[in-house]
This record gives sequence, C-alpha cells and structure tokens, in this order.
Amino acid sequence: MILLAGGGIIWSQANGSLNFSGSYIYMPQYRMSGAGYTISLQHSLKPWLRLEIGGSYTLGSRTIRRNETVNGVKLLDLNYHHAAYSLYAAPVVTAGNGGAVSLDVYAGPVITWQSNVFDLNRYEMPESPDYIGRMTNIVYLNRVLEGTFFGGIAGCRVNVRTGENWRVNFGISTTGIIKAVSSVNASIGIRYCR
Amino acid sequence: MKTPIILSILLSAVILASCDPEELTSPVALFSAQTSPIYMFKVNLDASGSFSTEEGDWLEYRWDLNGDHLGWETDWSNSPVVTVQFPYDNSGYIGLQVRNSDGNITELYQGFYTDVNYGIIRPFTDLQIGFRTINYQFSYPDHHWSWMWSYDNIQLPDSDSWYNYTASADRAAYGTLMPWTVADTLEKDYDLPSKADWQKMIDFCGGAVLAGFNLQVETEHGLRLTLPGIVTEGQLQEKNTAGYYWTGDEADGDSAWALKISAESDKAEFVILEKSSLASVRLMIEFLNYR
Repeated sequence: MILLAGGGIIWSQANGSLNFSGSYIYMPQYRMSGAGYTISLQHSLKPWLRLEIGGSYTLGSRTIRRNETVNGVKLLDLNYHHAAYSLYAAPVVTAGNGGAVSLDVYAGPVITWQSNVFDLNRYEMPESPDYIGRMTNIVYLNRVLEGTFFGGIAGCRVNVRTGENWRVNFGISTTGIIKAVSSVNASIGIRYCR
Repeated sequence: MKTPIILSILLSAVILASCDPEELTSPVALFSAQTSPIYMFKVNLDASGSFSTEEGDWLEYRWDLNGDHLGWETDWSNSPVVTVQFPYDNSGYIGLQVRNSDGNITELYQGFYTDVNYGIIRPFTDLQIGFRTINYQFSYPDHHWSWMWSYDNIQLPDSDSWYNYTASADRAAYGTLMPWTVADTLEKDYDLPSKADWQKMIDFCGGAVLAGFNLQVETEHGLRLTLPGIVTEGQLQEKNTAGYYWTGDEADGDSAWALKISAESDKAEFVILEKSSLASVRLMIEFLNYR
C-alpha cells in the first residue's frame, strides 16, 4: 500500500516517467526459467538521481526429464513451478541524462509474494503381488514454498531515446529473496517521460 | 554518495540470486510382504526395494503398522525389514516412510488383502478318541486343493507304550506323546505328514523363520500347535517350552525326523529323534481335484 501510494505521488509529479518492460527470468538456485513483466514509475529528484517504484509479475518452470526405470520403478519427470508478484522501491543513478543514450543503475528493497511447487519425486511402482492392493500405483511428492518474502533488487538499464517523450530500454537485474526463490532478469522495455 | 549503497545492495542481490543450486529429491519407497499375510500370523514386511535417487545415499525406515495415520509404531531404523503380527482379518493398510540423508521423506501406504478359506469339522475315524480337522481350501485356475490337518493333537487311550498327561485338560491340549512306530500307523485315511508336508505347512505359515510362532498362534484358522514337550528315556522334558511333532520320514533305522517348535523362538525346525522317543502327532490328508 505504501508503495502504491508512493507510486501515485510520483506519477502526480510533473517530472516523472512510466516504464513497461517484459523480461526473461532465470532462477539459478532451482534452474527454473520463465517470463514476466514490470511496470515502474520514476520521479526525478536531481538530473542524475531518480526514485523508482515498480511492480512485477513473473512465471517460471522447469522440467527434469528422467524417463528411466530403476529396479522395476519407472521414474517420471519432475516439474518445478514458480509464480511471484513483487513490489520494489529503488533510487536510480543516471549517467548521460539528456543524451540519446543514458544508463540507469538502481538497487533497493523488494517485497514479494511467491508460490513455488517443487516435485520431490514421482514414480510408478512395479506390479505388486496379488495380496497387496496399493492406494495408488504412482507416488507423487512435492514441496510447496509459498508466502511473502523480503529481499533486494539491483540492476542497470540502457535507455535509448526514440522520440520526444519515449525511450526504449534494455536492462539486466538480479533479485535476491531471503528464504525463497531468487532470480536474474534480462528485460526490454518502453518508457514514457513527461 | 549513493553509489556505494547501490553497489552494496547490488552485490547482496547477486550473491543471493546465485547461491548454490539446490537439487530436490526424495527417495523411492517400496515395500511388500515377504509371504502372503494371514490374520494374526507374523509376517516380514520388506522395504529393501526402496532406494535413493542420489548415489551413495542411505535410507532410514519407519512404519505405521496399524495404518491409522496417527502415529508410527516403529522408530527410524536402518533395517528395511520389520516383523509384524498381521492385524487385519480381511484387508487394511500399512504405511511406510523412507527418509534419505538430506531428511527428505517419501511416504507410502499399501493395502493388504488376506483370505484363508477353511472349515473345521469332526470326521469319522477309526481312532478310539476322535479329533477335529481343519480343512483349508485353495482354488487355482486348473485345480482345487483341499488340505486337511488334524486340528487337535492325537489322543490315544492309556497304555504303557506311550505317555498321556494325567489331567484331562492337559490331555485335551497336548494329546498323547507316542513313539514313531505308533504314530506312523495310526489311521488308515489320514497320514503322518512327511517332512515335505510339514514344509508346505511351514511355507503357508510364513517360512521357517516365523512358522514356529504362526503354528502356535491362538487363532481359529491356524493349526494351534501346543508345546507338550518330549519323553526321552522315560523322562518328560521341555513341557510348555517345546513341541516335537513326528514326520513320516525316517532318518535311519532307529531315528526319524520331527518338527520342533518352541516358546522362545519364532522358528520352526526339523530335528532327528530316536524312534523310541515319545512325541506329538498331527495327521493330514489332501485332495487335488482338477477341473
């Protein structure tokens, strides 16, 4: 709520900008990959310093191919799934402001709600004797990591002026989340400047 | 001035995001009964088919033997085999948890079915003191097997040639202890079971390791063998601690094989006794009807 209120305040200022970007996301800890988008607002404090508030939504997954039979047990593929909503606030230091190309570097705190489901195992059991009736022939186990977590975001982006009020930007960032899933991102976005 | 702060946050985020990959795995849990489970009989449940999906890993096991999902009847153990007195007269679930060295657990519940088709009757025999028989029925695709065993230890009238307990309750429970030559020619329709016959009964009762218990267990569908002891050199020994049951197989001219069970052990074993020893007797007969 604080971040949303802050965003409204920033956008109400005359010297703000609105950025929308799509991103490729990779989560090295669990080797998941996916995509997401981010909406952010910037408020200029000084020619080289801005305050940015943004929110993002990301989805990721990973499939571990197994397709092997060990001791009569068919090991089935394992899937990881990730979804997250994040909000962040960060000061942005800009180099080359006013030029055709500028560079933003930013870092700040993140609050995120994540839902992660990791398959621990999935397997199909061998045929059983007549006197054994199994509840199921496929055993399926997973671990769920879900909730609100805190962390930090840091990144940089290159802005290319494409019009009076428009910029295209290319960025990379990393989001470290304590006790949950961290990620690195590569993004491409478009910015509207007032 | 802001740059060092931004750089330190950037560094922290990079460190968090690039921490070591975590491989999430849990072991494969499998178990089965080593022999067909029968109500109240002891059976070995074997989870040795379970394995970890990580090389060089080790596993621990614990069991929910009554399948109530409320608690674990055993502690974590490195042994994959547990012996349980099968608690279900028809069917029920037994649960297993397998834990690997990372602490990841796989849980598996399996249903077990048991069905012993039997009847108890008192047949006409040419013995002066009759006995009951238990008639086990087994149906197969191509034949039907009827397997009849005396349900009581054989009793004979008093004689100097064998040993009868004084108390009538003991006689009913323990029957007569008799020499092999008498046991081998008791009844024209029923045979003294051979070692092979006893071995089939041992297999039916969970194998040699558990049959000693299962042959004694106080349940209607079991043989309910008692522990009358043995008479050797005129002395009654091992009353209530062991039971010796003649087989129809001679070891040599002076001795024959007998089945031994005891109160102290779950095992059933064959021993050689002097034919002049006085031991207990059960009789049997079987019929095979092909379809």
